[in-house]
Amino acid sequence: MPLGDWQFWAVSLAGLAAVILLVRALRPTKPKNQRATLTINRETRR
Amino acid sequence: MSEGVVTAGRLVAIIGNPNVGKTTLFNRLAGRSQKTSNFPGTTQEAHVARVSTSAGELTLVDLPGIYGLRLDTSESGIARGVLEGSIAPEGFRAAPADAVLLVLDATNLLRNLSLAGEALRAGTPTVVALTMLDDARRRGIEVNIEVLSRRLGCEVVAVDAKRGEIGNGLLGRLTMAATRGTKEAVGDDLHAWAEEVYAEAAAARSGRSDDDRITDRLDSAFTHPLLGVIVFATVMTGLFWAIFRLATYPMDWIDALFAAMGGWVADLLPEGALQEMLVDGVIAGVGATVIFLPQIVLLFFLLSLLEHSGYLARAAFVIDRLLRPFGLPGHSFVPLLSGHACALPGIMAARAVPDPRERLATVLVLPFMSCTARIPVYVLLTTLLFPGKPGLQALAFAGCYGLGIVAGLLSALIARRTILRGPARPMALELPSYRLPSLGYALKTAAARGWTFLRKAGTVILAMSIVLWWLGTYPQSGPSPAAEELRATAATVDGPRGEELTEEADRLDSAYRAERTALGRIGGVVQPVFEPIGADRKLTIGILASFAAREVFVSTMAVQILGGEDADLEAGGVREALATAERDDGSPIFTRATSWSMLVFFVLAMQCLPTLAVTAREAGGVKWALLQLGWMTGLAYALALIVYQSIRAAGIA
Repeated sequence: MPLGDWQFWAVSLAGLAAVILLVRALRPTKPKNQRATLTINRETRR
Repeated sequence: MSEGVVTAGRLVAIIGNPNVGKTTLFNRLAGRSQKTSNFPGTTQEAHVARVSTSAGELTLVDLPGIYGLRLDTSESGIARGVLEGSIAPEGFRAAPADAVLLVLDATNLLRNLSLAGEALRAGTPTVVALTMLDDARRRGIEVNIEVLSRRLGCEVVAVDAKRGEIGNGLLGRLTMAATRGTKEAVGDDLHAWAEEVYAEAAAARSGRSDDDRITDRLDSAFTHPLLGVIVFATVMTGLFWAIFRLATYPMDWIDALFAAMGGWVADLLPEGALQEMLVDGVIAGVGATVIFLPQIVLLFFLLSLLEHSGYLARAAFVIDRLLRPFGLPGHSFVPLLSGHACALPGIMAARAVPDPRERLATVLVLPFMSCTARIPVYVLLTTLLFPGKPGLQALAFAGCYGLGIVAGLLSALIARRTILRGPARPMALELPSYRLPSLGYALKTAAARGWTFLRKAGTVILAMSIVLWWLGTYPQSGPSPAAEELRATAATVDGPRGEELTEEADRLDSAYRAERTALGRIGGVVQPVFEPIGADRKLTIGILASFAAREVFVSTMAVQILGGEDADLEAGGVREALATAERDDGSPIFTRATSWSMLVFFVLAMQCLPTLAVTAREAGGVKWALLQLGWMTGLAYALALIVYQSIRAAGIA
């Protein structure tokens, strides 16, 4: 690992932030006010 | 305050037949104040909103659409319970409804009046909202609101929820609504009463209107047992062909834009890890996914036009006949169709399937439907299989959707014959008049879908691209000893042979370094599992990454291929780089056998964690989610194996 290179630390920090973002984004949550499109008649209701 | 008058803070139940504009009206009245919960002990969704009027607060409950209060369906049971006060949405007190907002469709007033009679018999203060008046007039039906109001014994308000006109002070009227003795006036024979009221309050022109005649003629073709299926198949194939044909130009522009961005960032930043991460990780990964935006937007634009024209309802009718032999009711069509956008709303929409066994079967097979997350993978692989042939690409693309549907139906059949055995319920379906679709609505729908896709590209895919680039870059190793030896030999040889040896040394070196990165090591360990379906180390990584979200596959491949210095982003764009990508041994990654095998695998495999979580919740247990995961992924692997080995055995390059 190029520990003496500041760019290595910059990209590693970005990687860590990306992991945190991924965990938060992919964690299943209870949908709030999520409405399915239930009607094919007359118009779409969401 | 006199008896029967609704006071502030009271409960108002909104009831009506299905598809009368009830939910649209509720959304208009509730605005952003609505909350979604369940009716306790059921999976039936309850939409509740507290709204303020000048006279005080009202709690509005949007009930499921019903044809009668005494029917033996879960929807009717809930509506009865809310009116009587024996059931309330979770988090709300159970008390008899203080008032009813009865939504009636003017185009089907006679049928709607049966439910109105039942509701009025209860004696609860009622206000009637009359919808679809314009459509009714076009079909030659004139409704006299004053007469209707007198016969029903309550206020009748004409509303147009879609255009935003919800009647003058509908909420105010609800707070002051009172019964005027209709309970006695309805009488015992509900049907006779409805006919009597209809004859007095509505005047229909004799004969059939032009609209009706056109509808009849088109329906005779579109709902025909054979012709209907042929029309459906033709419409869908035409839809996909149009998507491929029209999307080519914006896709080229986006490709060129990201290639230019890569070059610009490379020029701007000094060489180093940061520049590599931005060019080969972020720009390559996000660009490889965003390139499919035109196709997603076009798909939903055209589907929305079809939906608004009234054709999709006919498709549901045709599909109902096809679904029955597989143990699924016509009610499953809408959830299954929604599943083509995303499995999550589709699974939620399966709550509308009344029979519990049929509902569970729908939930279990729904992720077989090709969701938008699969589109980038389908487009990539079909383009690689048939370069420059949009007709064949569209056919293969439509085939992917077909394979998903067939696999879903056969799986439903197996489930209904084994673990979910039980009788089938009949289905009633209402077909709307044909109309010119709204371009504005279609554009809005397409823009919303496109924005959702872009948001995902800007978050999940961006993050995944950075993580994969890091894992594919570190830890860094020294040069390959074999490559060093080869270079030493090349230095002693002149001419083309020397150049060949140098190229071979570079390839060895690149593979050696890639194998020693974290990503390479993970791929190396798991690759034997996917080798029989044609996956090399890079494809294995792509498959593993796509278990988080399917569309990540394309960006993962782009990051690995461009990050591994096998290709140049500026030279020919991401698509060209993927098409010419090579395995560690120098052979192409995407051979015909591998592309077909991967296509089959991605159509059938269960690769979506949020869907598994929602399945567990809606089906009532983790075991159903595990069954879904095991069955879908097992089937995907088995069929991909057959496809890959068959093509190889046939000797097709």
